[in-house]
Amino acid sequence: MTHTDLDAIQRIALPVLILLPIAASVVVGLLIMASSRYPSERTATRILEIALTISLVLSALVAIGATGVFGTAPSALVDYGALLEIGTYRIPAVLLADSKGIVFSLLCAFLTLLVARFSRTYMHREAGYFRFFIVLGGFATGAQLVALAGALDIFFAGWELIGIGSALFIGFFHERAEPVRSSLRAFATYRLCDAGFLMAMVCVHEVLGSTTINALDGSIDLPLWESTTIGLLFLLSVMGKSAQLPFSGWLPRAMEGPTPTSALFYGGISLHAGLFLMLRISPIISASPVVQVVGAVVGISTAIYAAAVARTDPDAKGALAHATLCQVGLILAEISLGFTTLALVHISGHALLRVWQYLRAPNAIHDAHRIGVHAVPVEDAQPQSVLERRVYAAALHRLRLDDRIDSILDPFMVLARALDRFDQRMRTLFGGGKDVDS
Amino acid sequence: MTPESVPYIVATLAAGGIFAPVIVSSRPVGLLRIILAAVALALSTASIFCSTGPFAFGLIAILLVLRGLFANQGTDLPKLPCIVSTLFAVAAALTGEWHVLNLIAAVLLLATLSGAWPLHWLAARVIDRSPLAMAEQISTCIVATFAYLRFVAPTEFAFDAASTLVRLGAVLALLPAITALVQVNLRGFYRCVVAMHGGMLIAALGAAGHGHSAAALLVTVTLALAMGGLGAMVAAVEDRCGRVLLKDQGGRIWGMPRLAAAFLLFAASGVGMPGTAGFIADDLLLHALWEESVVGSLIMIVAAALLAVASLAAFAKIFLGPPATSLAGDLRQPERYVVIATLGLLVLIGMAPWLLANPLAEYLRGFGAVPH
Repeated sequence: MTHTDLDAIQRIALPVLILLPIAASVVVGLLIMASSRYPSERTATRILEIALTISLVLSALVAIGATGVFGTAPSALVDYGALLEIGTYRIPAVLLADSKGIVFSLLCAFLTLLVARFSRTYMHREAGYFRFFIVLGGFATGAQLVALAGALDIFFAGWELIGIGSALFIGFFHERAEPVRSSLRAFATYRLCDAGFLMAMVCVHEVLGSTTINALDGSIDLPLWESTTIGLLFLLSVMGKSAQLPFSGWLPRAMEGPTPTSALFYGGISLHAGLFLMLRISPIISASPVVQVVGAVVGISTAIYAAAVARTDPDAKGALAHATLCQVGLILAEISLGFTTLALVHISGHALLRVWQYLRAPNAIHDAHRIGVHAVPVEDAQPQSVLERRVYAAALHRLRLDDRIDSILDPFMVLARALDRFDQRMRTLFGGGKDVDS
Repeated sequence: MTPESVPYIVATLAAGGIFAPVIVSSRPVGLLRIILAAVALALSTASIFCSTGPFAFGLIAILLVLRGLFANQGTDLPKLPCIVSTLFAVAAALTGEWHVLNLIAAVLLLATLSGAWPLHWLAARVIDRSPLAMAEQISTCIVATFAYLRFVAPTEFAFDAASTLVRLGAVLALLPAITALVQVNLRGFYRCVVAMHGGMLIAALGAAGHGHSAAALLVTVTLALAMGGLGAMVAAVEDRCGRVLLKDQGGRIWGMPRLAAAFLLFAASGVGMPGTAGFIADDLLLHALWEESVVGSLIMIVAAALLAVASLAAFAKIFLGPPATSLAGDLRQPERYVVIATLGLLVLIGMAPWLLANPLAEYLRGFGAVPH
């Protein structure tokens, strides 16, 4: 095949593999919305699984094509023009199938299909079965957008889809109050930290003239304060998405969701999406020593914190979540220090291992109860010295991270209530909208 | 899309906004209501296609007068908001030559229609009557914004006032976003969401003074479609369950899953969910604001984040939780069609914003409405 043929095939394959899962979700959603009866579980699952399988096959084909097996490798950058172009402002419709993107795309496609297949049985006759698969399709598209985005605007779209999917899955068992509260906390953390991404994206457009990933290579020429500001804003967003200190509090709460989604999000893709963003913005990181140091410090402190908590957490999934977080912190440090290839290998291996561990967790708990096997005999795990006891207590309470963040937010909520009272008085004065329920 | 198609697209969107509340209304729709909707469509279309500012705003004023006259019979709108917005529309029509007054009147007209602070007490009256009436009122925003972009934004004073309007709009978006977090009932939440979008619209109007017309049009289209749709869903919930408090979890999703999904999608689109018009509108607006005021864009980002959290919290309290004992049904067939069509439009504009935004600049240039 000629280079042109391969380019043309890749040009069609990439958008199809990205959009097919969400298109399947839309089809299932329309079937539910437009008809008076729900489709069968089998129909809904089949539609989603076919879409995810095609997505995986196309992702694999793109990966094989990139190795040059079919002749020359197609261009990594696939330009579809602009989603919007007004004067100097442009939202580029660009995809980037380079080695990093292809590895992450393949990983996401494989893990999503694996979890979808696992969930077909796991979620059978569960209330919210259709909701589960519809959101899974949206998430799959979000993950592929993150993997293959050639511009920050497209990356952000995927980033947001992952965030929304994550919040909806955490609150999946909403008949209990706790999952809903946890879902809100996770979503609030995501959204507030994403302010950093948005600001950074607008800054990149202003200082580099484009939001394409390739344009970030130009950040080496930026003044130090500009690259540092942009890098720190991106880092803020990564800290929220990858649950780095001090935003780690939402992660154990996220275990309220169904086990397959815990595997996919917090073992496999969502936590690692933040790290993938760090890989994408590595030119900015290498341009600013401040960002490198802050990233490394945040990553290593999170790793130490998570390692301590994982050893004291009485809940299997909670301990697993913190063990995952420990590795994620280390990978963040690796990327910050410039070991990007090592980090990509670490991300892939780690995601595969953790997904297996999460999916195995219910059986492991069952085995532990049945056979009575515990990893460490309880008497050996007791802290001995004063320091050990203090560290143990701090780890057991997870440094009271949530309480500390709540105490920072409390004055803000007081302000919100005061503002609302003032608004009510004004409205009553002008005769509009009395809040009888207040 | 050619530049000539822009007014047709805007007219189609306005038509949808006018007729959707009539279709989804749970009460029997009388002949008077249908005639009024047809007249509103005719006046809106005439305003969109007419070539002078006074005439365009004059037609909007006539539309608002008609709504005011039939406030309690033919429409759900109360009288006072119609009277106040009519006055601003008349002022905008009569002050065409005095650019300062013209700009102030046009911005006040749009602030009243969109429920922006501090004129949101008028919108509160409308929402108190019926959230569906607010959806009806918001539809007029598209027509008024289009008139603003053609006749007001290109003036010298609009250019000078751009930065001030952007900063003002950002603050006016932030305040209701903060109060949305502590609302205790569904109507209060809807009022805050609409007011926040009103603030966004004011900021976008400011940015339009420096040539960011597409941002202003996309923000107003998102306002009309997403907030109109959300208003319809709020009305649908209240029709079935009465006044809804945001205290404990309502558990309504078990009885009305489609309504819950539609509510979530409209709310998410309003706060910039990817793949919908809201995402593109937010993106464009932020870039436009950045050029006017970095602080303004930062405030807007925070406002959008807070509103997103408030929206998910409200959704959780209305719909999630243990199953509620209720006989209330899910979306009716006409409501479903309107939901599918509105969400379809939001997605279409979100996936292909160039359909609307790209020809707009050329259309405005051809119209002679080049920013100063």
